[in-house]
Amino acid sequence: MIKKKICMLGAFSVGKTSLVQRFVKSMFSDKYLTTVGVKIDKKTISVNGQEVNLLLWDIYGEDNFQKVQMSYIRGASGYFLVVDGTRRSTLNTALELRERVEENIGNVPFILLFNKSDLEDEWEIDDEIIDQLSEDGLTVLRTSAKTGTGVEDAFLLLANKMLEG
Amino acid sequence: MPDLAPPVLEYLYNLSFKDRSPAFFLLEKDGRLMNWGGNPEAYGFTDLKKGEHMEERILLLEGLFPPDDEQMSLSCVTMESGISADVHIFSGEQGYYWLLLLDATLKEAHLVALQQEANELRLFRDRHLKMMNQYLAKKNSEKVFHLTLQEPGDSKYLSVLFADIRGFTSYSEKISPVRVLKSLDEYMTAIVRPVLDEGGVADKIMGDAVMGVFGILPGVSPSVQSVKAGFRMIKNVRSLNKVRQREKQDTFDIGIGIASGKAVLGIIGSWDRRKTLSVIGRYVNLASELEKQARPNEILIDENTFRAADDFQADFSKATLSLQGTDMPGQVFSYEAAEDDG
Ligand SMILES: Nc1nc2c(ncn2[C@@H]2O[C@H](COP(=O)(O)OP(=O)(O)O)[C@@H](O)[C@H]2O)c(=O)[nH]1
Ligand SMILES: [Mg+2]
Repeated sequence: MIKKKICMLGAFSVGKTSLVQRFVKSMFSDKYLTTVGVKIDKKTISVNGQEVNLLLWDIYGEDNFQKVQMSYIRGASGYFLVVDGTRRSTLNTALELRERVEENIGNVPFILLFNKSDLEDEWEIDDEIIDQLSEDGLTVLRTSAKTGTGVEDAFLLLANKMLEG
Repeated sequence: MPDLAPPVLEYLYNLSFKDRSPAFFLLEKDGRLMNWGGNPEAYGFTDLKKGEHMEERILLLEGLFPPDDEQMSLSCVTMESGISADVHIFSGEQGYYWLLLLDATLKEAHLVALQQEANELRLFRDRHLKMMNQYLAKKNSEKVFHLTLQEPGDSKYLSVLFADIRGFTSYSEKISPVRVLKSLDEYMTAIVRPVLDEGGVADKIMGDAVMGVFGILPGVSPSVQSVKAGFRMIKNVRSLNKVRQREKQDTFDIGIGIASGKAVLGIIGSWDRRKTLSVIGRYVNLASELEKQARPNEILIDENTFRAADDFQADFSKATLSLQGTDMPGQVFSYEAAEDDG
């Protein structure tokens, strides 16, 4: 069976762990439990009739004191850059991470996720910015690990991109 | 390898690894198992067979193995069994690779405890800042945007005040988030209110600092407004400190810098949906620099502010300081609250 490694990348508390939990176990918890190191989960999905075993690397959040070590992302076939739509600064973190990742593993498919889309009142990111980013050629999706909106689609779309590439 | 006597080696081994259940696997380039030892059961690996493909059983090898480098390591990898391990891969003879696992359960628990606290604190502070900024933006837009403002980009005579809670950042790293939030709230209220009360606009809060701008709204001299706001801030913080002392809570002082002159006023669209007011000019930098140099409970003002705030000149005395990086326009004046004031 085809196996593909996917990394969850982004600032802390943007919802990386929650997205994996939602996708793999259809579960969500409001409680925040910080991730140290990496947790590897797997899920088999079918893409265009083909079974693919996705290995999901849920990596600790990037911050100023603790950069994500690039050894964790080696061998990744694709990755998610996760942004907390209610915290604008997490977009900067995601875009910085993208640069470092590209320096290290080159041009690998990725999707920029604006997570926590259920928290409309607290939303901090303009539609214009999101439009601008997709005009720049980035694949951008809105997700909510809490309600599940967009989560399945995101993983399927990334799997598709990885198999094309 | 240093020449160590076997008892020393054994001692060192016990010291570092005895409780960490080392397990090793010797792998061929294609991931087939050649040999193993130590305690693979601790990581859920039983029924191992020579020649079996280990990348089927050890998920983390996918994409990583064989490694590009002679050696690599990953810290705190939670394995399929749910056990956290430090993973080391290094090359051996004849193109074989060693895979070494060391239990990291204790290390992980320790790191989680530290990280959890730090992250929660940062989230709390971000939330709080956001709330304050939203509140201020609303206040400002009520005040400012209903007036016929000058054309954006015009320059105008303004007074700019910076106030900072001294020592709060290092404090907030040591104390529980809830208490930090409560303290920050109290001090912020004590310094933001005077700006608004004196007819200024409190614009941005950076961490534990406030910028007040005077002269946007019609009124008395901006310098007078800003100096009065500064006095009020110190008074407020003093009485807050008295209450907190009684409650056996930590107390803080503030430092204030004020400068006046022509500055460019603009309304700048930001990434955020709301538009923010922004002031650009050397007096803004000067005020910020003066704030940094101010001692606890001291107000430092530049010459322009001093001249314009005639009613208060008696409260200030000439100060000598070394302003680095800024070309100092004239004399700086200082006000220091007496101990029993307020
Ligand atoms: N409302 C809402 N909360 C979310 C969502 N995703 C994650 N969270 C919450 O955000 C916090 C951080 O989530 P987590 O998955 O641990 O973030 P990570 O640090 O990126 O792994 C937790 O309290 C989650 O419950 C979402 O889509 N909507
Ligand atoms: Mg996490």
